[in-house]
Amino acid sequence: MLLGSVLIYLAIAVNLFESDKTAYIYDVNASLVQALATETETKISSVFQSMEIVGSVANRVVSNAKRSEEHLKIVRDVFDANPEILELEIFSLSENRVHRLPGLRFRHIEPLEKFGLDEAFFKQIEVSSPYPLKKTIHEGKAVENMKLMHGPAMIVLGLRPAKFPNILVFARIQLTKIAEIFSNTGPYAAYLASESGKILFLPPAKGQKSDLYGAEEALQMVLATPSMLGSREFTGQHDRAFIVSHARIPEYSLVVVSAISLEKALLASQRLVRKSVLFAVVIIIFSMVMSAVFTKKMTSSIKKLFRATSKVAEGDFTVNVKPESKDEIGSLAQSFNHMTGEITRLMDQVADKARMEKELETARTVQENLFPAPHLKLDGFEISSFYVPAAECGGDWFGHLAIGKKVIVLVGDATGHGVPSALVTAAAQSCYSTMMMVGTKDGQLTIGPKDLMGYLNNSIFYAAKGKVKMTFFVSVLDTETGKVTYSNASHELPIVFRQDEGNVVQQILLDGDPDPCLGDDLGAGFREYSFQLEKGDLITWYTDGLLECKNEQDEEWGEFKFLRSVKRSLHENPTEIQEQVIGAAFDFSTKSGRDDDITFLVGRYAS
Amino acid sequence: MAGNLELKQAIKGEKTLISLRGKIDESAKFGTPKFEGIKVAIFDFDEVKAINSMGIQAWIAFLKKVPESVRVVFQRCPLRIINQINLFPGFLAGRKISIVSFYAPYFCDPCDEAFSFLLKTKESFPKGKPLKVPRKECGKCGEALEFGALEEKYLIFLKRARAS
Repeated sequence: MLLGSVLIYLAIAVNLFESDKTAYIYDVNASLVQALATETETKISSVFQSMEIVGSVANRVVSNAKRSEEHLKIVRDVFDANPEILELEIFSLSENRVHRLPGLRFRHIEPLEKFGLDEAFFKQIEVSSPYPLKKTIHEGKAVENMKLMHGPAMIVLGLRPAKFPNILVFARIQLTKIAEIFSNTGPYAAYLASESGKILFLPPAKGQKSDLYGAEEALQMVLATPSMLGSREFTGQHDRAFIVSHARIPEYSLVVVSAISLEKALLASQRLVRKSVLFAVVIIIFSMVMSAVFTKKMTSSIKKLFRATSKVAEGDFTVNVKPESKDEIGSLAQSFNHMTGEITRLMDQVADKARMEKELETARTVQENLFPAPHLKLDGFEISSFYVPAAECGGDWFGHLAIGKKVIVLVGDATGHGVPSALVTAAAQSCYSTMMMVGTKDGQLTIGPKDLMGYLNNSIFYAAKGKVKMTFFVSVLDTETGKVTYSNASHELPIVFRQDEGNVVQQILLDGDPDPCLGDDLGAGFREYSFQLEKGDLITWYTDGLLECKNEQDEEWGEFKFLRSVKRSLHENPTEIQEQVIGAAFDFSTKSGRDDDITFLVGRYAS
Repeated sequence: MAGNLELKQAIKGEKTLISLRGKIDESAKFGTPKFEGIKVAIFDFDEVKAINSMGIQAWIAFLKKVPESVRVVFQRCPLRIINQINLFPGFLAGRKISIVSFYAPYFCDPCDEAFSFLLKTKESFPKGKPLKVPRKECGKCGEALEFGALEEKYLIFLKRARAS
């Protein structure tokens, strides 16, 4: 793919480069012919100006019918100013006849001597290239080629000055200076031609033969083109392509033509293209070698990562990959190691969590066994209970036990909730169980609420060392007499609901100064109070979690709704009352609003 | 704010007003209010939103640090604070503390709406008269409001204060 891209790019680049180079050749060739045309025109114009001066002198000579030294001096000056003039001759024109004026032909032989020519040469050229009399007379100016077998390139100029129409001035001039310009055009074969189709001179171009492309045919193509300046492609001999440019000199009916072989023009660019191709090939080979090296290195790292990933897929999360570079692959290896580390850590956490959940489940199961059956029904007393922890384990605990004619009911609430609180409740239950064995004799309870509270207090203090405390309420009900003796360690006071014959409900608090929480003070003493129940009285024990259930507006269910709920179901049995009250509390609150353990016991004295 | 609780103290002469705001729970930090030269410290509980058993222990430990020479006054105690005062004798850290005002819960059964009125102890419960909550009427239906708690239970703190 890389190779293909480079080749396409190269092809496009070469095409663009060749197009650009061709446009450049067109431009340069056109500029060249224009410059040559301008210079040629300037030279010829200079000679014509000198010929105007000579014409002026000739007019005076003709008028005075003699030549003076003054006139000869002017002519010599003209020769000095225009060294390219080899011969200058003046004719008079009268009655449409041309008269040669004796003594008015001047020759400059010196430039010819270096070609080995002498005065006889002029006689020869008079025959081969006579003055263009007709053209000069009719057009005022004439420029003609001179067909010479040897010697310098020459042209003949004819002038009939507008001010002196009876005078004709002719000059033969060598084109050495102009030819030098035409021969110094590098690879461009430039030549001068007349609009009549005659090539005035054709110097050989550097590095190529001037007739190679067919200068005559090229000139015919140019002359068929009406534009003053232009370039176009020309197919010359042997079907070789050339770029031919021309610039016209309309003043003298001349045209400058320049041609260059397209092959030669593009030679440099073709060389550059070849070098570029070679360079591209080298770059591609180098890139392929480097790619192979890097790919091998990269794939080696990726293979290691792949093998490590496979091991992870098989469940081996201890695998580690050593980063071998600081690039993305190295970062990937680091990320992989971090990932496996995190997976291992998370798996450990999951395992720990599962173990803790298992332990909590076990703890919950154990704690559930610390609670008595929810219902207790005796002659003269019936009790129903409800308990739900806020977390896996709770900090509330309750117990009820019938011993002889007495029923002991206990409710406690440890500070906080969860496992620490649950452990304290376990300590409380353990102490209670022990005391129920120790404090029972002949099937009768021999220990009272305040003493039991004292033992519980010490037990909890030793278990929690003051870090977790517990509110507690211990009550002992005599099912025969209805007397309740109780002791309170800062717990919610039970409420007795009594309905008289007029169905008026009294709410009676099991009052008494509360003593400190259990576990607060080792050896603390507790007070004991009593209350006389009447037949039909309902007594409720609860923990604060029941009243503090919250709804979505963060409003607590509260004591008023609790009391109202109990009163509304007062005629029901304890189990139904318990269910209706808990139902009302749960209907009011949301699950997240029940963030504390809830314990609720309902007992009815019926003897 | 330290944990869920924020304490602001303002001192004017020999009196200081310490306003509590937030939750008094296991995260509560009471900081170290200044009691130098203070004779009366008034604790304002109006913006206490919750209190739990762990917070109570922290509160008691904090109250024990208040110099004995400083007379402590509670004002604008919400229902949850009054409940704790009633339940836990230790909530007052064994001090004789004046509760000059507190909120009392009322309930309109027909409207099924709860109300909370700020009662000034001296005005609502004058000495020598039985502890009886003042009568209130529902602003909506005009019916007499029922007290929103067991009256005898809720006013235990006043009963104890009179007995001491």
